[in-house]
Amino acid sequence: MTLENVLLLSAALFSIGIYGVMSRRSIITTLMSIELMFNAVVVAAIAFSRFTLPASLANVESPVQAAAVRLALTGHVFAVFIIAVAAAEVALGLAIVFALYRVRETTEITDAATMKN
Amino acid sequence: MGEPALSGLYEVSRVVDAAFWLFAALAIGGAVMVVTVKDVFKAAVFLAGSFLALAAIYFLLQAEFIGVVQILVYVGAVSILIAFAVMIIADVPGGSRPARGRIAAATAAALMMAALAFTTYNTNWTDIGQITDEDAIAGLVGVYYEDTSTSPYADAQGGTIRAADETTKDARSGALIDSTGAIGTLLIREFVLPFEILGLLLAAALIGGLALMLNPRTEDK
Amino acid sequence: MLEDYFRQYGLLFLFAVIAVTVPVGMLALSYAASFVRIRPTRQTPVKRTAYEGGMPPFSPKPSRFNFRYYYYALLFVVFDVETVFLYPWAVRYGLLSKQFGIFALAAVMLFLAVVTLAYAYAWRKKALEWT
Repeated sequence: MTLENVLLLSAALFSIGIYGVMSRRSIITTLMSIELMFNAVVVAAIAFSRFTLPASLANVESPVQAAAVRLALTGHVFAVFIIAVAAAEVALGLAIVFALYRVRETTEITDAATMKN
Repeated sequence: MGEPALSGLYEVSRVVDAAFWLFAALAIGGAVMVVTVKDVFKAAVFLAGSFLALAAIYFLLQAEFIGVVQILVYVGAVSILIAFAVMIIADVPGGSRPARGRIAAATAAALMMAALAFTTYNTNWTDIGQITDEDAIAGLVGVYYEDTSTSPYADAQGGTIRAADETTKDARSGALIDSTGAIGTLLIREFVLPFEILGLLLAAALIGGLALMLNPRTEDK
Repeated sequence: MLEDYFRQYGLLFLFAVIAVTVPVGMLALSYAASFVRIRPTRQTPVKRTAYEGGMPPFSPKPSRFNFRYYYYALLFVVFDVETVFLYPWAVRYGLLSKQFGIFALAAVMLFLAVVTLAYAYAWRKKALEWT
C-alpha cells in the first residue's frame, strides 16, 4: 500500500464515476455516479494526509509541533467537509428528481430539456 | 490465541497490503456494477457495498474517524436515501437506459484515468518518510508540547515526548494519534468559517429540498 | 502501537466476517440440502403467496411508497451530518475551552442555530406531520 496505489484506486473510482454520469439516462444513476466521484476525492485526500507531508514542513529547522499536526491532518478535515457536502447534494438532488417525477412522470435526464413546466 | 504469538507470525505491513488490495478490488467491482447494472435498486445496493469497502480502506489508512463517518453518512444515510427514492418512484425498476454516447463516455473515462495515472507516477511527492526533525515527528504522532507546565494540552496528552527512535518509526509508518480529537481542534481553530458556512449549506439543502417537495404546483399530481 | 491499531481493527474485521458467514452459511447449507433430496421443494400456488398475517393477500405487488417517507429521510440525513461535526468537537471540548474560552462554544452554537433554523422551517411547514 503505497501512495501511488491508493491514488490509482482513487483515479479508477473517479473514471468509473465519469463513465456512469455520461452513459446513463436515469438521474438516480447519475447521482450515484457523482457520489462515487466524491468518494474518489475523499480517498485521495486521506491518502495525501497519510503518506505525504507539506514541503514547507520537511525543510524547516524546528517547526512548532502543533503546526505539524495541523498540516498533517488537514486532509481528514477536507474529507469530512466533502462527505457533508456530498450528503447535502444527494438530498437536494433527489428532491429535484421527485419534483421532476411529479410533474413529468419521468426520471430520465433527456426528458428534462425545457425550463418551463 | 496469544497475542505475542500472533505478532510473531506475520508482518503487519504485508497483511495491510493484502487487505488493501482486497478492499480496493471490492470497491472498484462495486463501482463498475453501479454504472453497468440495469436495475437501479441493485445499483444502489452495489453502491452501498462499494462505500463499505472504501470505509475499510479508510481504516487501513489510519483515518478512523473518516471510516466511521463513511459508514454513518454514506452507508447509513445516503444509500438509504437513494433506496427510498428508488422505492417511491415506481417506474425505476423498468431500468436505467443507456444514453447514446456510451463510446464517448468510455473514451472520456479512459482518458481521465490515463491522465491521473500519468500524474501520479510523474510527481515527486514529499514522502512522510523523509522527515528527520524530531519536533516535527513528535508533532505528527500527536505529542504536542514538551513542557508540561505551559502546555494547554498537558493534562490530556501527558506532555511527554517518547523515545525518539520509536516515535520516528511510528511517524514513518504514518501513525497519527487520536485523529478524531485533532479534527475537532482543527474545526474550531483553523476551519471555523468553512464550518459555519457548512451549517448554512446544510440548512439551505434541507429548506430547498422541503420547499421543492412542498411546492403546491408539484404536489398531488 | 501501529501493530496494536491493526490488531484491534483486524479482530473487528474477523468478527464481521464470522457474523456474515454464519447466517449466509446456514442459508447456503439449506440450499445445498435441496440437491441431495433432504429438503424437497414442491411448489404450490398457496405456498408461493406472501404471508400477510393470516389474511388472504389482496394486492399482488407491494404498492408504491408514500412520498412523505422522503421528508423524514431528508431530515435524518441533515441531522446525521450535523452529528458528524459535533462529535470531534465534543471529544476535544475540554482542551478547546481552555484555549479559546467561550469562542469554542459559540462557534458550535452558531452552527447549531443555523441548522435548527432549517428544522424550524420544516416544523412550520408541517413537514413533520403525517396528514
